[in-house]
Amino acid sequence: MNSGYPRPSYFLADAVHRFRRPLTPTVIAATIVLAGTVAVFATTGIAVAGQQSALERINSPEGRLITVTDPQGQAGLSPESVAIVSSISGVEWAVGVGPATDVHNTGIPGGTTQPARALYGELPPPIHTSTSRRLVDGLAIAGPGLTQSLSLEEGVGPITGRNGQSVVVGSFVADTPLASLNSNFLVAQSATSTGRLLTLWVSVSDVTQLAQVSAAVRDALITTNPGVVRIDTSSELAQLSADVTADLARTAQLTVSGLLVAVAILIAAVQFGRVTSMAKDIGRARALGATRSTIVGQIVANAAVCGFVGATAGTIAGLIISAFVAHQLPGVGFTVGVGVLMVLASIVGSIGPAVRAARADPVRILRVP
Amino acid sequence: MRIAVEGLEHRYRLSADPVVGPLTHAFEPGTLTAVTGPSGSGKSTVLYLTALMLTPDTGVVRWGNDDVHGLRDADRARLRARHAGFVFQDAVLDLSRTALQNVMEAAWLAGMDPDLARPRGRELLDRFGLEERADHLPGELSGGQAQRVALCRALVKSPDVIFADEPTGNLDVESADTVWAAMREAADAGATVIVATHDAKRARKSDNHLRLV
Repeated sequence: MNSGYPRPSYFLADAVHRFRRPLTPTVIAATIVLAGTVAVFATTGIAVAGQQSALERINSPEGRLITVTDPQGQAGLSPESVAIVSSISGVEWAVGVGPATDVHNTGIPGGTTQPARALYGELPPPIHTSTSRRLVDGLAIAGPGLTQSLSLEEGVGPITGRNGQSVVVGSFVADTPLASLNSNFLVAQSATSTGRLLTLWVSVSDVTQLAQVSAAVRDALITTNPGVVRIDTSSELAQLSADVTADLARTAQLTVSGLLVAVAILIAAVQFGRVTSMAKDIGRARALGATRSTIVGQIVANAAVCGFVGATAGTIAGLIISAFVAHQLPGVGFTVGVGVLMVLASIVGSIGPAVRAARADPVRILRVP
Repeated sequence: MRIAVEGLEHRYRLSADPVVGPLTHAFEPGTLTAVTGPSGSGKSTVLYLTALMLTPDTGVVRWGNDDVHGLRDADRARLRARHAGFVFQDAVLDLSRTALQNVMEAAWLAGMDPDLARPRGRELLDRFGLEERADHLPGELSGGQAQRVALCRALVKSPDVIFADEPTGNLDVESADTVWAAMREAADAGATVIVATHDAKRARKSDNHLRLV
């Protein structure tokens, strides 16, 4: 016994067939979707790529840095603060240094001196060291050229300063934003040592979290005089990031919405023409037992196929344009999202003509010679 | 399947005289009924009313024992898909599909298993001498061949009822004979066959003759 309803696979097969025959209206429909998709990429896509580029620059190591300082040396900032701050959610790394003291080659008393600072915390990514040894209490690394200055043979050896003796085990180079440390020896100190912190650098994972993490850092500091602690952040950059994101989101929304509406209207016009030329086919299908929903399903499925073909071709073209014009591709989410929205616009645009076609009187259609 | 109409009346415009009716008649299974009458007498309208493509102003249409004229449009379409075959005056084929695909359309819309429908479609095309034309588009067929394809489309799901609206009106004698013979055969196999026709000679050879004035 026949069910009286077409199988779901029929709609897809029928849509694909009707995409090819007649070809003209479906090519026009697919071209509209293609043009809409390319337009989105050429406007919003390039803007989004530019936004991503701007955000990447804003989200640089400097932009994500919180600098805690004790400018007058009266804050009594405890080295234990480093470990506590490191454990705050959103903190990528934290490292602190004490005040600078002079050190000399232990083997040359009264010889040349260079500054040394106590280092609290693990070595952060911007500091690249030549030694694979883990820096434990009393071991030191030297900034570029400092071991030669103190005549340390093979770049290693003991150094002595006001805080006692340390052993240099290698050298380091610090990148931005810690490049100012390059003129120092860094002497590892345990967090429980009696020293004090002069500067604490904290890097957050995401620039947009800067303000929250900054507040948490302020609360977490162990200090005898919190009033004199100074905390600097690139809050202007964070604000700029938020503003850029919001502005572009608004612009993108407006542009994409406008283009989607335009695509839907044009598709509706094409589909009206198409279903009018198919009137006899629709009347025949109704006589043979197609329900109104079947007719709507056929037309919408065809619009989905046209939309899919147009959106796929448009996405490829749009990505090529973005690559050439903006030298950067929009993200996967944006790319897939545009494609899906364009297919949906094609479907939405076809619903009106589909319903109209389904409601047409098959008897009147079939009786017209 | 027995098709019956009781007190059937229909107007295309409310202010106009009824095109049909009042009409009471039963179309019995296993019979071929010719509906004849002059132009404008409502032959096609009776066909479309009994095929549930039009809703009568008054009266009842029964398929089997069920009063079906008041059913929702979707339910009426489903009844046609499951039980009825249709032959139109001109073949009304889908110009974008081959002869076999046109035959299959009725099976697809009825939800028939394609593995059963395809061989059945080919068998019908063979039976009506169209085996060489199965993969041809309608534009490559003669009028008689196109009408035979339309007949195959009506028969592919072995319907309980066949509605034919002037099926031989545009055909030469030989093709018209083929179409009538096929409908005769379907009636003999148990189908209810209702044919609106101007062909008085053939109408007289039908099992029943419904004359409209």
